[in-house]
Amino acid sequence: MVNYKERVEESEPDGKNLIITFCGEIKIDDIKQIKDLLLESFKIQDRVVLDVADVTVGDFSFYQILCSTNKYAQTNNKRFELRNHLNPVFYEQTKTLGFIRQQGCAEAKNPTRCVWLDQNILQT
Amino acid sequence: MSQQIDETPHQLLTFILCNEMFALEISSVREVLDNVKITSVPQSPEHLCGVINLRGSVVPVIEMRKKFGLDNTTSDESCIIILEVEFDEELALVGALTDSVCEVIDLPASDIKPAPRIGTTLNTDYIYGMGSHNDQFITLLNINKIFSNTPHDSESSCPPTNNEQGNTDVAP
Amino acid sequence: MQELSQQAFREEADELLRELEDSLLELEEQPENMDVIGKVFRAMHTLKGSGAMFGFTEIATFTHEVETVFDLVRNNELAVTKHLVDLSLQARDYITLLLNLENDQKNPEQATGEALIEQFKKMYTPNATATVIKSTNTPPPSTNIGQLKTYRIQFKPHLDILHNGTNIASVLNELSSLGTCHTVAHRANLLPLDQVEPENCYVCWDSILTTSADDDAIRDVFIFVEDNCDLSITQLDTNNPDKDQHRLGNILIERGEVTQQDIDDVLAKSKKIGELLVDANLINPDQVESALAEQQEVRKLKEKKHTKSNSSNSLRVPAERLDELVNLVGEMVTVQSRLSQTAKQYRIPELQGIAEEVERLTEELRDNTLNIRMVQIGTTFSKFKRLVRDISDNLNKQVELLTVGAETELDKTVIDQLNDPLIHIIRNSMDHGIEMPKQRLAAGKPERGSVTLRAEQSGDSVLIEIQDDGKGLDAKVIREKAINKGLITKDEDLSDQEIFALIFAPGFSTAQQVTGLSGRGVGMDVVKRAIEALSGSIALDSQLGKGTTVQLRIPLTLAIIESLLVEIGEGHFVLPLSNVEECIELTGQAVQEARGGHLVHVRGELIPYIPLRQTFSIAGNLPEIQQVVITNINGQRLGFVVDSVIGEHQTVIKSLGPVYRDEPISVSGATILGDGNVALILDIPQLMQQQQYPAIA
Repeated sequence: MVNYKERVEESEPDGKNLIITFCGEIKIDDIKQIKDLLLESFKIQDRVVLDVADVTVGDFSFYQILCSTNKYAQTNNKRFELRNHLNPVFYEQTKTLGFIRQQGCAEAKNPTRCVWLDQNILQT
Repeated sequence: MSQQIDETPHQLLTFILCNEMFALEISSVREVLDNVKITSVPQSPEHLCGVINLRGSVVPVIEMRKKFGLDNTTSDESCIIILEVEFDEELALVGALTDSVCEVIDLPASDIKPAPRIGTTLNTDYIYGMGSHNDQFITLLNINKIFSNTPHDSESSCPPTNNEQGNTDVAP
Repeated sequence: MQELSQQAFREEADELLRELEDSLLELEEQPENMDVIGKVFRAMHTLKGSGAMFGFTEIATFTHEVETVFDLVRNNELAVTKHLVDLSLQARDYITLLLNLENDQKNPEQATGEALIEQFKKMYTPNATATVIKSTNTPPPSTNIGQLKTYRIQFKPHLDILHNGTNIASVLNELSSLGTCHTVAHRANLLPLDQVEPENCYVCWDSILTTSADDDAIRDVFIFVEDNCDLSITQLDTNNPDKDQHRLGNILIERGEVTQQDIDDVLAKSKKIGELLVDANLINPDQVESALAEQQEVRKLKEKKHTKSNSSNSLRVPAERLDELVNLVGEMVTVQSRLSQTAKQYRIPELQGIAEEVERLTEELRDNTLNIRMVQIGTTFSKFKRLVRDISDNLNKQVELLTVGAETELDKTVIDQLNDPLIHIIRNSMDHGIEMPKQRLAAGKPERGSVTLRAEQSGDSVLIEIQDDGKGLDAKVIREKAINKGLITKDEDLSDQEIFALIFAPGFSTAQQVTGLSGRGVGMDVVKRAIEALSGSIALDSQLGKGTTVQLRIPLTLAIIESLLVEIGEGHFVLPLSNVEECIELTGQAVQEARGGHLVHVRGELIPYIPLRQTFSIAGNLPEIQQVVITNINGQRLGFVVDSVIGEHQTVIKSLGPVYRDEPISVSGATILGDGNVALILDIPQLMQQQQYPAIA
């Protein structure tokens, strides 16, 4: 089971962000739980931010689900962001797994919102 | 040693043997059969009455009254309860021959008392508790203890087990 | 899930270690053979890399040392000596030990491992080029002075690859550690959150890797996942401009807002694709820039069309799946016999026709399925080469192992169960049979003794012979021993064959001393039991001074056997047909003539029989005429008296289960008849033994 915390924060210009913070190792055994958690979160708020500062190890299934979450958010008029993913471990792993992109993928509605864009990452 | 009785109510299958009521945890019960032809296996001990054909599988049947050393008269009715039992880390099907099967009941933990140390004719290892339901005493049986032991309670006329000449190694 | 991937590693590693042993033994015979040296090196390298990936760090660290030494060997900086081969064999054994440790178990042989490493280290010269690397996650790129090459690696895992615990991140991490690597993940097929199955893998990868490693090293990275993915590794070169264009397009599809359709449309014209795409406003010039930069790298080198195909002619299948299949086929055989029986009863011609066809198909299905489980006995034989080598060293004797008929096939389960008995027989031969080199020379024999393993198919059985050219059996000594043990009386007149057979009696052992190998009391009776547990038979033949031969006859398959169905009272029994010689009538008169002895005349020979009704305490009246089924086990004839013989029966063996396991019954299993009744399978050897040695049985 994965460790996580939730809180709501105000965000400009309007509306709230639901911040979920994951801690520790994330393995494929946790992935179903994470999927359900994220889906539930989008029912509560339209904007969900995932803070990965405390994630020590994430395996491929975790990165895959983040991408999947972004696709979902895009098609359902929600918003999904990653926070604190500049941390070296996380960043390195996204590189090795080939998830970093220069441009959002062709299917995305709003390509500039891709969580994996180098510029999005560097902004945080 | 008596088993810890946990708080959740126990779901049990009750059955009759020699006019006494016994019960087994429903979780080990696969099914109940009657009128099944039992093929006896020669040279086997008394409490093993034989094997049956269960949809293509061969399942051994233990005669419960002989296993418990109870009164020997056979009744006209008989029922076989098919159980899944653990034998040395493998799961196997075993049939238990009883007089008749009653029903499935839920017995809350509060209605279960620990097994008596004395006063029963049964080997107390086999019992994990005594219960009561609708004013009837029920002896709750410990399935794995009963079925995985080879020795049994009735007259010890069982022939000595044929030893493999030492388990000394034929190993590489 | 991690356990699954560890299990997978253990299985693959097992096989690697087996091959490694073979290669090392080969290397001993051909110390200069570069191919064999390469094989050994690669095995070490794979064990090391994948060991690290799956968490077997001790194996990885240890193997690294050995790999280093073999690296020197393959670069001709170190020669292969017997000492090196000895050490390597010991190392291989040590790795096997590490492999079999449970996760938290402490390593009991730590000191041995360290001592071995010391020995290996001594083999480096001070100027060795090998560097000792502490980190076990980074295998050093090959030390070939080759130039850097660039490869395109396309890795498309199957949807369910994660289900067995495969760690993709590790694989890609290892890939990128080989050099400069740029990976792109294709996520076009990834479903959005509400539809995605999170434990599936929807992603595939393209990597561009520039490295000095060769493509075998790259392929090794994927060795444990290659069954679960499509993999292609292509070395890149720039001679073919069209190909380059396609690649650029592919790169762009992923990186830019271009779809395959766009590419195809645009390629229909003939301008350079980068320009075309910019013109069509599908991408911006920057993107073309960056993609071109990547292409530049590719342009620097030569191309070799080198996609090794991943398909092989064989398939790894977990043994349980095969067992399940065999079970199902067994069920089918049972039901089919019911169908045939019912069809006969109802006498509907059309139904009978169909039943016959089902019978034919079922037999074919049965034969095919049982065939799948067939494995060449050669795999078992070659294991013994190592055994013989080690034992000869231990005993200071010279023995060579010869094999004939290694391609003979046997059921997998049978082969597994033959392993221990064969080892015991070989040890016996080497220990008690083959003489010390001096004695052999004195006897006019070659100094080097031989043990020959021979396998050959005969009918529905396999004959296996273990023959040695040692000193043979001394019938007199055996006879004396048997008399001492009370197995026979002084007056009994026995042929040599019968005397040799006494060796199989329980508790018999002619070893004058206890040697470390065979021990005392571990007699041939244990071996005999094991062979009989396979429904087989064993016999001995020997010539004093010349040698001894042990002959095994094993039925080809265990699961379904041809047998003879008989009736006693209300009960049905079957006897394996391979043991049955004939059936004759037992008349009241014959019983009388024997006057209490259970003997019957068959063409002048007096054959003992077992009155099964009596033995089994079956109630009921004896029929007027009974039948005696004459069986033959190892030349010994024994009859079994039954009420009637019904006929041949294809028996699907069902075990009686653990309840009956320790009971001294003479029934080895059961089978379901066409009419649903249960027939019991007679354990003929057990019945025979009960009759011969009633005191012991």
